Amino acid sequence: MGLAAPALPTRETIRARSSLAASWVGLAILFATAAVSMYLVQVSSVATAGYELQRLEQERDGWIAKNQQLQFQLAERRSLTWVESQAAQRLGMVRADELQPLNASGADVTPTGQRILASSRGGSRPSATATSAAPPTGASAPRPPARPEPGSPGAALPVLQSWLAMLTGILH
Amino acid sequence: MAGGGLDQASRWRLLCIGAVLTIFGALVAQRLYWYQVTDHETFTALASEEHAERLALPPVRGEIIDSTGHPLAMSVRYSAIDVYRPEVFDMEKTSRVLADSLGLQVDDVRAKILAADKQWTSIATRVPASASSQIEAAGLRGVRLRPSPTREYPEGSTAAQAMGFVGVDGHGLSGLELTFDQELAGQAGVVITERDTIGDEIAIGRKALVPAVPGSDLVLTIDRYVQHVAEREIAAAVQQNKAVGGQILVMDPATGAILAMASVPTYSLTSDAGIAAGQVINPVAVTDTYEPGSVMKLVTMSGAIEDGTVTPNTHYLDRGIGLDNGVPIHNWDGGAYGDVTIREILIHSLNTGTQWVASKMGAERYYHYVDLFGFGQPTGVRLNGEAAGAFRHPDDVGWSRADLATNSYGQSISVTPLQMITAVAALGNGGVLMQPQIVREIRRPGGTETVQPKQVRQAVSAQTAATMLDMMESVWDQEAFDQIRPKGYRLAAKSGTADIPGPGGYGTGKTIASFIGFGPIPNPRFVILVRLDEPEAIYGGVVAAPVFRNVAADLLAYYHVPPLSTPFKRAPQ
Repeated sequence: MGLAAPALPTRETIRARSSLAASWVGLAILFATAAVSMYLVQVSSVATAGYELQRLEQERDGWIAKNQQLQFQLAERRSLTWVESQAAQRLGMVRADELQPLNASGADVTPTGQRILASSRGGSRPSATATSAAPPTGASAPRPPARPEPGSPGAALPVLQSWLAMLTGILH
Repeated sequence: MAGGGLDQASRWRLLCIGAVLTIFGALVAQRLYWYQVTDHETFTALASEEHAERLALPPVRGEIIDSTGHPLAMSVRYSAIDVYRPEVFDMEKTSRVLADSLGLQVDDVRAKILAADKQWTSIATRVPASASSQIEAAGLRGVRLRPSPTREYPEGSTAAQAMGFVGVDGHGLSGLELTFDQELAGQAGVVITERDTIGDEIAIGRKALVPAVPGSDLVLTIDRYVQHVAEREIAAAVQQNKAVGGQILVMDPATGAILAMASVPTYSLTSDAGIAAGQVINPVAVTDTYEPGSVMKLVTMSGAIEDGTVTPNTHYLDRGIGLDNGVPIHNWDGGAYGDVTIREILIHSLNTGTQWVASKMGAERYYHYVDLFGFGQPTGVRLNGEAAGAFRHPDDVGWSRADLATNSYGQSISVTPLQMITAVAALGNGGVLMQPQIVREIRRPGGTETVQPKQVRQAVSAQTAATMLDMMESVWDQEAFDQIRPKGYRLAAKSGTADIPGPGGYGTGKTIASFIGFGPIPNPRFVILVRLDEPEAIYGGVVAAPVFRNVAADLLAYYHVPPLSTPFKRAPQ
């Protein structure tokens, strides 16, 4: 009983196997290339996003700084010193000589009442205080200040209107 | 080599080489173990430091805000421009862009760049965002922008001494900026990034961020309008009276809230030149003491009335000299006023009568009330460097009855202006002494702390306080003040004139003139203390009273207090 010799692969079989192996290798290379490419794309997009983030952070810092500077300018424009200087320099206003409280309803008021009266006060500097070493009692009293007393009659409305006009001018 | 075997020598050689290699391998392994395991953390940190950069994130310093919500001090982030000559690529372009953006001359900028050949040198600070963005967009080599936080003052130098200022490191050096430095400063943050070999941030590198915690905002009791009025009036008064200085304090007697603290001379918060010689930076109303003069008579009379020693109608025969305490005491004008009441002693401000009252009280009771009104101890206001003031108690070495006499009318006793106004304010608050307050709120990132008014003690009864207010109203209503009294308003006041001692005693001829008063009566909204140092006309009732009147008239209008529709008539005493 003799044994049959194993059949040698034919030329076609060898070619098919080689082709299959080449396909696998190709696929592997393709897969590797795709993986590397994906990695590169991902890294690239992360880097791009990182640079964009840096730029946006810088831009945000710039806006924060600008906002702070504008807040300061706004506060400066609302300061009493600024309003007073603008009223005097731009609008030619002077400190009012008198304070004229107006009773809007005609009702009686008391010093401790809460009724709000219209006030046109700026108040001028006293033109003089006492210039001699006079005592606080007796005949040698301090000289009166030039400023009229609160409560004395006067034209309040024009002054009020001027102040309103001044404020409107400044705010616009 | 017959038999193919190694001879003995070769075996030994191989063995030695093997041993050497083994030992070498062991040493390498040991070293690797040391690097990788034992000192792993150290070397990781070293490696990390090599390419990691830690950037401090400065916190935004808190604002200081007045009681009406207007900022008095705020931090603003500007940019600073640094240059380094060796890295400047195009000198002409760099000079031109910088000059255009900063509003400087091209030649000046070029000179500054040429001078910066050793290190990075600052050529501009406080550069606004509009200019810094232009410079940044130009991408100039050798030019660097860095953040430059700056303290700004929208209201100018308002309340400069109380607010204080910060140093170049952004930390407070005086005033509230110093006292509340920890609250205002906040906590610095940090950002850790990876840098490449030329120092640029690696966009995909690791990044860690600990954000900065901004500082708290302080809301003061100071009202910018009241402060503005006080500063305007004290500056004018010092100039008109040729005084060397002066102060105005305004307080709400019900809460102890300081509404204004103005002083001359002061200093500028906004000057680029810094603080000049002769300017005063400390809050002198808190740190400096003075002899209050006759304003102190209010304390003497309050104690005596509270003790029942006298009443406003108790009579005293004034012969123009008082000898009750062992030394001759004269009145301010050297006059004798005859039969007067306690009320008239206060109206005419008689030293003789006041020392008589103190003598009747006795030293122990007198100093008991001086202590109750808070003299000789700090008020506890939250400002650094507060002085306690000084005077001798009977058990102190050197005390004599002359001290009792002179202390009773405000000489030989030193107080701070804040102590004086706080003590007198108690009379407008039902006799309750309040702790003075300058901070009303602390607005922290996590919530707001409201500082509640704090009662110190009942210095005198409400009845005594009301009696004193009534007597002070009599002082204000005297004929001498007819010409300056605002019509339609009830005020209460007392003048003070204190001799300034020199090396040879009290004969210098120089005085501290003061005036303190409430308005409106009977429910005071404010108490005002005016002090003028060494005015040409020496009396408080002459030089300081008109200043009090001006401030009071402004505040009555500001607080919308209407005048009386009918004149107030005092009941016959």
